[in-house]
Amino acid sequence: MTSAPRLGWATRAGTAALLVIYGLPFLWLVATSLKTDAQIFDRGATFYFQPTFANYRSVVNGDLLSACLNSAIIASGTTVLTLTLATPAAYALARLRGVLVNVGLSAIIILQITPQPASLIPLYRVLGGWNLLGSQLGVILADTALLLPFCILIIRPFFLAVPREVEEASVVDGASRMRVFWQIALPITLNGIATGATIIFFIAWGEFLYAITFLADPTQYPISVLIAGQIGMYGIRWSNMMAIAVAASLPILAIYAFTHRLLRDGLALGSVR
Amino acid sequence: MRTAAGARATFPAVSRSRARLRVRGEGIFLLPAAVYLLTLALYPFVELVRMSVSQVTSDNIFRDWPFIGINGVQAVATTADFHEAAVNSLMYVALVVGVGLAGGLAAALTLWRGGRVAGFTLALMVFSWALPGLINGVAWRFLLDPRGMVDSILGLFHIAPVYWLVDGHLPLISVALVNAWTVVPFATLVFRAALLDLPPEILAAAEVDGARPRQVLRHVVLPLLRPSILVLGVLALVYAFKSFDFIYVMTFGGPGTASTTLPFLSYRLAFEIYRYSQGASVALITVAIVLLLALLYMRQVRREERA
Repeated sequence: MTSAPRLGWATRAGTAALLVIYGLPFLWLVATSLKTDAQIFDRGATFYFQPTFANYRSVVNGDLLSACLNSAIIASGTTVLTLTLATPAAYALARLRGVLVNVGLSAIIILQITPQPASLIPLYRVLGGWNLLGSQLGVILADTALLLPFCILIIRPFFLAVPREVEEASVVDGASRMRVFWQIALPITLNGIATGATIIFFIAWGEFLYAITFLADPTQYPISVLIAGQIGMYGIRWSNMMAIAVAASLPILAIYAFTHRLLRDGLALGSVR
Repeated sequence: MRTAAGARATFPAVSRSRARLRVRGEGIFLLPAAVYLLTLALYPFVELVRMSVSQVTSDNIFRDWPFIGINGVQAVATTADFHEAAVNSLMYVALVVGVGLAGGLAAALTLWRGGRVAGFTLALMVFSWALPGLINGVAWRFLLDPRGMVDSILGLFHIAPVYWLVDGHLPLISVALVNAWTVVPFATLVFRAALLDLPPEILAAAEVDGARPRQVLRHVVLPLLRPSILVLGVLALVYAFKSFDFIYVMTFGGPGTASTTLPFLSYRLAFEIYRYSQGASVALITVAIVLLLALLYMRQVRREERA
């Protein structure tokens, strides 16, 4: 990277500032989750304190684990369904030309602009009509409807990046459209699909509005609803809350550890083109 | 479909299959998503429109909705609550877009030269983007508590605690800045990609000509980043306008209505006081405003690009 202008001290100071702005909050939260209620707001115990796992011991119980399991079910279900629908659609919207593409993309953009609460009531009616209220399948269907347009927009640029000539050559060789998709377009765009899957999983993991509205039985609640449900109450127990928040972030951290290079390179692709 | 049978069937008519490649083949791929979105996204959107021009209360929400026409939409748009929420939304969006883009640009320039520390910093930043708004919002609600991280740090400099989520316009600004905190990493990624795409010859040439780093930035790098800035601008605009999670967990639109933006007003109308039609009207007006702004913006961009 010798071509970048040399801004020695500014670069160093800027990097340090970024590390503080993005690192310190996480350190603070993890520290809080290891403190007692009395230590949390004690100035003397800001940096020096005896860490305790009491919060985790009181928070990590059957309920939390089952909430994590519920989150995993909802987030994976949403990811699989969304990717199954979005991948071929993104392929079509990258290959087709003409009115259909414009209509499709316009519809996707309007859906993308609509705020989530706007779809709560109509979806409540639709899901109620199908007897899917109070079931995780209903939440998966709603989450997929919410995220499908976004997912198509993420994946489409990856298909646009595949030269048409590559596909046309194999069509001349006699491959069907379906085979071209499966054996040529799909393998080259695996990065894009993985990028889309990671992002959809993360968003679905944190989605709480549909889950809190459509689910009735607390044993079905994902961890996001545990957090959102407590936030409305007066006198939040921050030590416990931060322990739950840290627990809810761990699966994301685990996945992120494997996919961050993918996200780093894949996200920019979508918005630059 | 992965077997050779499908291929053999099309083999005799290569020219026909090329035609099919353009016309029929791809439409099928669009079908599942189209059917799904028609049922679970576009149909609800149409219902939203219908709700805004009907009288919908908690009594008849699951039955027929009497038509009342566009008057309801007009009535909502002239209320004081709506005006406040519209102003709040504009302030919120301006902050998220402005801080998000400026911060992203600064961060991308800072991390441009790469290396281990820069790589780690970027990974850390993008992690905060990857975390759900719910978790970031809860975390920052705690960090912004008068006894939390931010005020503790200010306390080291003997500055009195600031009530970030309570006082006057501060709650709206605080939530917007936290939201911007998660937009910066995304903007950084996009700018970083654009910077890495810059032709090295141009930068080398500027240096050979004796341009100082500041001048290179101002007169060479920034103009080349223009397309990325414009695209990010519209993405951040749309994203910020519909932002909901951060407000929900950090202030719930309060205190009072101090941090209620348009999407949140729509939510409050429908789910706090059960004025479903009014909630639907506000949601639709929000969509219309975003569309209008986005279209005006893109027209302006095209015009400038032609000029």
